[in-house]
Amino acid sequence: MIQKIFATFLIFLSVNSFAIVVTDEYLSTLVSNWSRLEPAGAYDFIPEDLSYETYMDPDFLAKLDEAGKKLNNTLEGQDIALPGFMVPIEFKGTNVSKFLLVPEAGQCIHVPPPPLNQTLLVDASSEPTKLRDLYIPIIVYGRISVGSQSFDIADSGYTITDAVIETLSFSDEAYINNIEDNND
Amino acid sequence: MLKATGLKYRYQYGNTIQFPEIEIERGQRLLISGFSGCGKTTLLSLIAGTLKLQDGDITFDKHEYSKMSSILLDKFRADHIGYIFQTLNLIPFLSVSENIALGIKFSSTRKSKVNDLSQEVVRLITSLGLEEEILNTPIDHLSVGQQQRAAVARALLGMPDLILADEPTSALDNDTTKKFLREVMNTFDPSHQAIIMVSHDLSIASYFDTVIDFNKHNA
Amino acid sequence: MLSLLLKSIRSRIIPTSLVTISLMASMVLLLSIERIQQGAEEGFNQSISGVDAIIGPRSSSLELVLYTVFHIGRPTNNITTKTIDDIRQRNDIDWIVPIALGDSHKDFRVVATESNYFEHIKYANNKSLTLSKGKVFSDLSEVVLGADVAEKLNYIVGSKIQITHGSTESTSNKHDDFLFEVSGILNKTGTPIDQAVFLDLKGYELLHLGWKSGRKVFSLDKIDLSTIPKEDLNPKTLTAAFVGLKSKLTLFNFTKSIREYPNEAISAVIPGIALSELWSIVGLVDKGFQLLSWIIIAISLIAMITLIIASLENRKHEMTIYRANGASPRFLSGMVVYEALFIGLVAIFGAIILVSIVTYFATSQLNSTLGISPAFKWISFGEVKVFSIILLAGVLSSLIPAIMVFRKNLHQTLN
Repeated sequence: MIQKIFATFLIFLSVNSFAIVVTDEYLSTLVSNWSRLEPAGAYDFIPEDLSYETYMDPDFLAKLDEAGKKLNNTLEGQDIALPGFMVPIEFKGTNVSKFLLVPEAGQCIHVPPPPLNQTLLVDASSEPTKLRDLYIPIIVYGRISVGSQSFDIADSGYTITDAVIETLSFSDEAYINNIEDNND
Repeated sequence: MLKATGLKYRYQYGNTIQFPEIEIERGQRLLISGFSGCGKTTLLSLIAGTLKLQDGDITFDKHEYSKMSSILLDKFRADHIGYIFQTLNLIPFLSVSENIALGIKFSSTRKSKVNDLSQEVVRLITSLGLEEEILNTPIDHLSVGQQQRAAVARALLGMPDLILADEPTSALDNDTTKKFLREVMNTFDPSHQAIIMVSHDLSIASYFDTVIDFNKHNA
Repeated sequence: MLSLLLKSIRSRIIPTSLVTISLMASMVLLLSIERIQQGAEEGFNQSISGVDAIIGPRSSSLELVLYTVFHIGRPTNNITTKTIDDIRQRNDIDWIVPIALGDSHKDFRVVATESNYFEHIKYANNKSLTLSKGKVFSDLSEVVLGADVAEKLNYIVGSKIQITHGSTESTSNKHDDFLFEVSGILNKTGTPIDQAVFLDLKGYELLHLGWKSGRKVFSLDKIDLSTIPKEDLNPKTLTAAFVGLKSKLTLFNFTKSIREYPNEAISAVIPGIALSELWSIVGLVDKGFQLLSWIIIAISLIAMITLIIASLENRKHEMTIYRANGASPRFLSGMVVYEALFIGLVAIFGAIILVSIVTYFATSQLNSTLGISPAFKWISFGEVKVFSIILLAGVLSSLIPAIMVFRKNLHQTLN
């Protein structure tokens, strides 16, 4: 009987996917990597005391848009780790060979899309990765290459190649903290 | 060859039996008689080594049972002892020849003493009064006498030193018993084999060298 | 030991076979479900490649992907050609391929589109559509056939076919006056494209020209085609449009602005997301079936152990004879464990063969109904893992009767 319970337990383990658990500090470091994608000073034009009027001014909004397109060329060839969510673009069998990585879940559906410098094309063609649902957080490790800033050709914006992807699992504490932070 | 002294066995239900001294040399035929249920099977099991010694000693050709692990005892039994049950000696889904071959299955020593298995099997069964056709007869078509003889052939195959027989004739009638014992005594090799048989039937005593009456030794 | 074991099993062949078959069947169940789901998923995923978004009427995104790509279900709404022409002007679009669905030819779906369909629409990791014979339609009376259509109906380049307005359910709506000519046949793709008939949008419009209020008003062969102004042959509504963007990163901005398009209620669906949603749902059902299958496997293993334990009583006699002839208790309990091992292995081999047969039939069924062709494989690593777990569980649980035998025979009187 004990052997059977043990065997069932093993079955259960192997059926569930493995995800890495990270500490809060490490996660914060990863999240801050997203800001590295913005070139230094891109948002300097935002005044300290931003008035509501300025905030709604179309010129200001246009500047925000433009800032969102600016790429940080110093990142070319660098290795980076980013946490985010997967939007599959290309499949290989039941795995995903190309996907877009966005910082927040649901950004392609009902929440405003991220700026262009906060979206990356992840190329995992050499080793296609498991499909994850849109709301499952992942970490992508890889090498960044910086393409054209005009976004009118295929090789635009940020691309990550040689990607290694892992599913992220929050320990209960981290998850609860996140929720509290978001409610601030 | 074999010496058993001071054997005492306590059963689960509290009984303790004291067994008589047993000593036997090669070529000897020993009959142990006594009423059924007085511990004769226990005695044979102790000598065969399937039952662990509690009190007393058994020594077989300088091998002391009390110093042997059960694995060693099993191997020893395979190499040196042949056993015959009272009934149901044969396994129904094996052929007669396969049943007999079980005698050497667990012992490489005994196996090496047999040059041509099928020839040796035929020799043994013919000497025991059986016909060759019997080898291919299904077990349930054999008479009790035929089954017992096959069991003897198995016990003798590969020439083990000691044959133990637990009331092998109690299911046979008088004439068959006499014929059976005659054939058994003719077939075993007195130059280096010995027989210990247990039975409640004292009338067969004439076929043996020594008789030990068990009843007189109960504690 | 093996020959003794086999003969012993043979004497108990009926109950042993039943238990083995039960174990085999439960494994076949588990593995078949998994394979069929995987095969379907693979096949679906490989059916479309390189399409960044599908523009269609605002409705369920999954539905849109299902009928535009897989020809499952029917479109309930349309979008206007005017909107598509407007969107065509956008800077972020590299190419756009409009399609119109709704007609059929003998059970095969008809897809009306522009000739650039064959240039931009790809499958299975960027494989382009190629023709095995002939060429893409260049006239509105020409059609291109998917590989299966040509094969099943024995068409060649030059064959003349009729197209039914609507689906085959309305068999009376036939256009028996106008015949389209096959200009080309596509190579097999293993996707729903194989089962489609492709036609120019103008030809599609022509098809419906004679119909007003669902009724055939005039016959096409009585009209001189050159008298129809070209503009009139442009369809006013479409089912959907496939879009390829210049830069994939602009995808979300694109879908947002399509969602906010002021003149019509349309939306842009990202195929990857719709499929991912589909697999989430399917995955739940699949997990449910898997759990059920594992329970059945556990029950079969229990049955096997019960059988072995029950047989021990009968085999007491057999075991005592071995023991008397020198077999150790380890040998006897070994026989029990090997029996479980033997049953397990036979069940596994049987399961592999049966699963392969089931998979073969399932994949050919998937192929004929949906047009997809998942790859066939004998056994995968995950399945080897499953078999190992089951075998291990079986052998471990056989330790129960094995230990029973061991302890019983360790010190026994022989009778």
